[in-house]
Amino acid sequence: MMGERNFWNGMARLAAGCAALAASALVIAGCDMDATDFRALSAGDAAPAYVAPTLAGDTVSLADLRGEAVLLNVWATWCGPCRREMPALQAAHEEWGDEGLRVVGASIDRRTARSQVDRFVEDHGITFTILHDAASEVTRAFRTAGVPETFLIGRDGTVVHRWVGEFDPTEATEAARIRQALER
Amino acid sequence: MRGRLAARGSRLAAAVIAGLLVAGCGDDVIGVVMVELPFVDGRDAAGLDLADSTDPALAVDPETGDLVLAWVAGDGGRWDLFLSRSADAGRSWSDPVRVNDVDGDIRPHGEGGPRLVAAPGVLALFWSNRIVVEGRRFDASDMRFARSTDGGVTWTPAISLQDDTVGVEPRGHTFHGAAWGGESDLVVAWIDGRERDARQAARAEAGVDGEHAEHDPHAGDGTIYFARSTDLGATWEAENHRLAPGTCPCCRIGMARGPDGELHAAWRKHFPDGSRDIATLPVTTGAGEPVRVAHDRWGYPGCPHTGPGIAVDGEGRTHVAWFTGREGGAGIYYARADGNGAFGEPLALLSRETYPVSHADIALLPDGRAVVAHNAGEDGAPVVVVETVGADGRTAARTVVPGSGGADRPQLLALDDRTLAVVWTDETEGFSRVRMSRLEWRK
Repeated sequence: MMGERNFWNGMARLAAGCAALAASALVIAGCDMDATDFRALSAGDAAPAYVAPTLAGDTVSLADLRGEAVLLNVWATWCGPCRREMPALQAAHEEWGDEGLRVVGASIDRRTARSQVDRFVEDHGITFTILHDAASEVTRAFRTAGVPETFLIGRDGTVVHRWVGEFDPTEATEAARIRQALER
Repeated sequence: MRGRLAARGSRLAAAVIAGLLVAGCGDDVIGVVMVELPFVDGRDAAGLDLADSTDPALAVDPETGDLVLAWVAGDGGRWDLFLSRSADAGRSWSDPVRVNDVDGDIRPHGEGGPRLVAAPGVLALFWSNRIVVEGRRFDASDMRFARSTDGGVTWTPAISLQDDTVGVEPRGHTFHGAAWGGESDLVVAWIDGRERDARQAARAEAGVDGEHAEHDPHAGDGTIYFARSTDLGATWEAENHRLAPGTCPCCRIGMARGPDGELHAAWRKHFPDGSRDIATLPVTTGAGEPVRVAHDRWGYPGCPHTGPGIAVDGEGRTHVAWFTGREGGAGIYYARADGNGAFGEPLALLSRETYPVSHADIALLPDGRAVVAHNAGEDGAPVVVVETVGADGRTAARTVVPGSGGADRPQLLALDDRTLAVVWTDETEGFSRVRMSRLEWRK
């Protein structure tokens, strides 16, 4: 009798173990195609947490910039529109930096392209903060598709505006958005 | 020794997990094995400085069945192209051989990485270098080529295959695809900057700033040109051929051979409506208009940097896998063209409201089923996912390759009737490393 009970207890444990293994396998393998929502960020959303290394080797966290307005530009050296808009981003940095605008460029060039990022920054006289996000964490955090994309983040850490593709922050409409964010 | 044992232990654990994953999804993959690549983990026995390795390319030698791997390696300042081969499906490898005769004659590129073609008696490598031109917005590049007739032991000095080299500044010739056309044909097609540069020069002459193309969203489009050899690369036709204008200028070309020897290209076309969707066209005949694979209507005013994968089966059906970033349906898709050449409704392998740019490649099992590899994980993190598409083209079973976190641009290659190799660049831990796994399918 005892032997039979042990047998069935063992079978029950085995079955439970198999079920747990199968369930974990299903979860890990991602058979459920709707496991994650990837809603596009829009105005009013809280800016996601994001930390990345600068070219100088230290790190910048968006959380540490709370209280400043942030113009976060996602770019790459191989992207023509990104390269075209860089002078205007530098102009924005020079125009509004003292008023509390922090321009941050997050390069998603791969690690092997680091020398090209350095060269681009030097050649174009860029003095605002450049991050080298070789793992492209920014694209996942901010749910971007390609480059360039730029986010204006208010002093309270919420997304104020998202630009997809090349833009000019010194153009009247865009400049007004930035001024408004600085005044909040 | 302890570290090596730990690494082996983690690989064993990964293999066990792989078994569970395979069982959990119920697909036809029955095993995943991480392939050891001894030459990509630091300085190797041959003394090669391989601080970083990236941009792999795979082929099977049609005469021996050997697996051949090419990759770019260097120390961040200088980069070279290497090749090794394996007669036992990746269990052991030959000492690496440097392919490029000119020091540093390649750049890591990712989307425009080297292409390796294996034909009877010939290994061919195509790559783009980096030419810095003062005042030019992008670095220029040559379409470089070298071949080996002794299985990769020795290589010819590299030559450039583009024909616009006289009297003009260097231009861009990259994002290439290449294939063997059967018999003795070799073809390489690339995104060419000559027409874009000419347009911009004309605009500048007319007083319009060629660097600011907001008045013409197609001003930056590229054109596909190709070069052809009819003697397996011993010589090349003197003139390049123009295949298709209006291409997205920064997405690689996929190329595959059909059963009749015709080569088919797939690329991201910049359609007149602004969409950057995938199109295909036979290469050497250039017959007809490009066929639109799907109406994604991804109108992205920037750089996708992600081209498609293409394969053609024994019945002449074209299979394509690609990424689209269209909001509301961003992700990885597969479509097949049957009989009349028109593509059927795409199969969404992963679809989200938004998704970061990812990359897909495709290979075929001998029974005609398509296998797609991509790096679009369920949670948005890059991991190698291999999807076996059912014979009906409407369903897929997925396998996540263990140990593939941080994967960039996976490439697939069929080794035999039940084994595929997938290779990718690992961008985690502050380094770049080429990684490979071997997958076995149930017959």
